[in-house]
Amino acid sequence: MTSREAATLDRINAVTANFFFWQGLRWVPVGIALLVVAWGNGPSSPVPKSWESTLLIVAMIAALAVSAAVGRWYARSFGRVRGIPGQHARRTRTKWLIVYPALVIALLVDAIAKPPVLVSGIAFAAAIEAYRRSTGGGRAHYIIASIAFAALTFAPTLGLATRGAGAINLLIAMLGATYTIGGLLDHRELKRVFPDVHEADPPHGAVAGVGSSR
Amino acid sequence: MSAPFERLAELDRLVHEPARLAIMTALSACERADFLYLQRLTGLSRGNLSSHLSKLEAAGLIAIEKEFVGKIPTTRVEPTRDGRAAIARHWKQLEKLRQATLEWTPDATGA
Repeated sequence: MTSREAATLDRINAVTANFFFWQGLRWVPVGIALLVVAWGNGPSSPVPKSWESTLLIVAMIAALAVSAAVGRWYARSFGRVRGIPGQHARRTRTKWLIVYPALVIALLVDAIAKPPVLVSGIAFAAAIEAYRRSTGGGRAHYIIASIAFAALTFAPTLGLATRGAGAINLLIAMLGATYTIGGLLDHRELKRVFPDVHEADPPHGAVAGVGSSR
Repeated sequence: MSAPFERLAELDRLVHEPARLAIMTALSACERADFLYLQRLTGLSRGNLSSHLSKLEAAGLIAIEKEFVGKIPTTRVEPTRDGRAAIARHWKQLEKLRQATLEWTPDATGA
């Protein structure tokens, strides 16, 4: 077995164990909703202040409904996988006990204390990298997103965003862009792992990337 | 110590066949998967995939269950305990083989 074939099998293992997370188009509606919310909260937005929370709720409900419909499309097009119970228990524990509380604390620090750097930038950078590693690795676009969020930490210092609400709105916009672009690229990666099905069998029953002579 | 190519003969051919190795690798990472998922993952035709699944089922490595999701018939495939053990053992053997290949020199075996 070549190292390329072993890598393909590793990828098959990783994608199967994390199939839900690799269904990238599920995340695109959430990303678009966050971009709409960031636009609605922006200084040049025509949305009245009193409507901002309504916009947030409507955008998120619509995003979740579309995301669920996309999930059904994935099941029809790519099939269904049921994970091993407790397989992701460590990730779930880490997410709820460390990652989410850290993100909330960072956002509160930025909103209330308004420090000269955006603490949430580095917190989200770490969270994105933890997400990438714990959901099957690969997907270099999340490394780029992580670096972009780390750089965002210095946005207020560099005068690219005002401290407090202005910087948090920029963070929401970047999060929306990450969900949207990351989701599209996740889907592209998934398509790469899943070869097109041909009714004529490949030679000698070879699987794409495994055991083929080429 | 046997030469790496002698260890090749010890591999379970039922599992080592490329399509079945991909199927078992996928199934080892989940509780169960449906036929469509395995077909999309391997790129095999329905007939070829069915043939591989039948062989794995006959060897007791997987269990196949047919049921309806709404009005759509679905085939669900689940690795058995023996199947999980077989694929884990196989990966261990492959890893040992890889190590042996890296360490092997003709002089060491007198070849």
